[in-house]
Amino acid sequence: MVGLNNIVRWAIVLGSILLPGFCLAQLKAHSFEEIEGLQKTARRHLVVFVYTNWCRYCDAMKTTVFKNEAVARTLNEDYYFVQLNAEEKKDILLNNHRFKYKPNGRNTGVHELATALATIDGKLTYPALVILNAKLEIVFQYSGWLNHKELGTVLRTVSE
Amino acid sequence: MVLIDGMPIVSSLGSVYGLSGIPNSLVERIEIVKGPASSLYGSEAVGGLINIITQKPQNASRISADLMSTTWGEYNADLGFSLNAGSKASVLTGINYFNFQNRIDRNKDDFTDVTLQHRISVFQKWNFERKESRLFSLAGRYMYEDRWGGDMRWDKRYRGGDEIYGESIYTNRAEILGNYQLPFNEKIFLSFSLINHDQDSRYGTTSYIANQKIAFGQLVWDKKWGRHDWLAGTALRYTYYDDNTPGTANAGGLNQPEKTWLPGVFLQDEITLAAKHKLLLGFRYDHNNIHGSIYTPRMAYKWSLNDNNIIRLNAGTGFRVVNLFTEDHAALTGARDVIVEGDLKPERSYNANLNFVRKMHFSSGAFIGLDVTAFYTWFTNRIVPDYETNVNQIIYGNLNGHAISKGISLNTDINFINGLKFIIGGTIMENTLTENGQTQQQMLTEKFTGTWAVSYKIRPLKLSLDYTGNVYSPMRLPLLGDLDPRSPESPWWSIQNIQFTYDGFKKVELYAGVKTC
Repeated sequence: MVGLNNIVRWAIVLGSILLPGFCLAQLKAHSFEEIEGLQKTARRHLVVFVYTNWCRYCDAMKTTVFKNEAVARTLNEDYYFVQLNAEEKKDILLNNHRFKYKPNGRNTGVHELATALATIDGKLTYPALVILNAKLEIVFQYSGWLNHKELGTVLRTVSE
Repeated sequence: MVLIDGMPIVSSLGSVYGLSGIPNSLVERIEIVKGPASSLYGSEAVGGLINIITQKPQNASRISADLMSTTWGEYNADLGFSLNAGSKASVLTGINYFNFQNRIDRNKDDFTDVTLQHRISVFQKWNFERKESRLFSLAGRYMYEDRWGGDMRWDKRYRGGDEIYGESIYTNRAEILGNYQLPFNEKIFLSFSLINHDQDSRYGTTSYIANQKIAFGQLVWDKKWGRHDWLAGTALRYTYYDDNTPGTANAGGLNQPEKTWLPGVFLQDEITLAAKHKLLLGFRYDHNNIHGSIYTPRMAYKWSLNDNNIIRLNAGTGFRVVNLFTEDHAALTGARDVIVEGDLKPERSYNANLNFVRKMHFSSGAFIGLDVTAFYTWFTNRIVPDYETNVNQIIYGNLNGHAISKGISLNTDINFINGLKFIIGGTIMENTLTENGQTQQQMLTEKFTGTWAVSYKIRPLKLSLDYTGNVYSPMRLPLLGDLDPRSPESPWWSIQNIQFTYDGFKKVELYAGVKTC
């Protein structure tokens, strides 16, 4: 009947406007290839999270800290967020430089981009958080566990 | 089976030395693969794999040294070096020296309680940079060990003689391992190892002198195709073994070293059936020129309920050619005669295990990991020493029946962000032999074993505390007869260690502890 159809139609329209506000903030992760294009539309700092599959604290940060509402919102709105597997096997092209995977054993090695971004005092440990400005210069590096409050503070401070 | 950065160390005589000579400062992490991995690495990998992954060159210190001594009289030194050799190569070097010469006789039986040892081992690993980031690693390890035990009055001049009893073993071992990716677009890897192992031993007046040389090469093609991840390959192992026992003599009594050729082919496919389900099927065929064809199938099923809950089911077979004299020193020592019944056939095993892993992450940063495994292994042709039929003999034969090893293992890992950590594990198992319908617990096996590590870091004091230990339940012990006054069972037994580590200095760490023995 026409009346019922109208109600259904309004319900769909209202629902699609209201529902997104009830969903949890989904952290948007980009790839390095997208960054150049994105910077052209809006210049933002880049946050890179360097991790490996066997690093337990990296897992912990992925499942708790990066799923936190406030952190996800800040990263989505003020930054471009990229996750880098330090043992990534594929080449990555960034800033006209090709970064490659360097093996040192069967199924073990490290990607040059992880070494370039996350080496602190000569050492590369995981997890590592690196913030670069729009010109791809490193402005912040930290290695180790950060809880959502600490990460929130870092993100707010750097973007000022 | 032990691997270094994925390079297999293929050698039965030397498996006891798998982890030695590589200082902790050069180790990034250790990966453990539980369950049979025999389809990839052959009979050595029946129980699983231990893969020692070394530090990335930029992370290893240029020089590191670890020196330790105990009031028991043990001295240990580990040196590590990391260098770049030009722009295309990097080298890691490790040297280990261990000395224990303190004769202890707590039970006052005039025989040493613990083996006296002197050991030096050198390890070096080269990594070369090549075009297209292809892998080339080469490693070498050399070890020399001098160990002895026996009458408290013994020294070198009585070696091999009949005046004062002593057992002395000199071991000389050299290994070369490598991994090379062939220069093709397809991922094809060549792994090889060359090993030479010399043992010169005396047990009183009995001498056991053995040499084992192994050359091993394996070619593996790694191909991903849609939902399939294939591994296909071929391997060849040549083993030369010679000793001065009747084990390497021909019918005429003349020395005839054992030469074994073991070519093989294998195929493995890891299929992603669905987002949460993976199935691995593997098959290996080897041909041993003495024992004939060996078939080693393997199956593994992984069900990821989600990222934090994973169930795995593994099943496979194993094959082991046993060298009695090197593995069972009871055969050479002591007053019993060694009788070997017929031709010893290789041991075969069939294994299945079910494993559940659960990870719990909390927003505080705390983590709890749970790992439960149930395992069951059925052995046929098990080679068992019979201590009971005749007290003056040890009779070795293939078991006319079967042996079973089954149990459940529970491990938990608890980490708090304040620095408190627990690693606790326990295994309940039954190791039985069934012969002619009768089942008995196997000698020298325990029913329960537990292990723990509790760590806490007092950050303001820069002091860490580690409390570690293990515990074993009673084991059946071999007695000489009804009049043997000793207990037929060992007591509950535990070794515990408490260690304090201070890392307030920039480049030096101090540690001290107490250990029960």
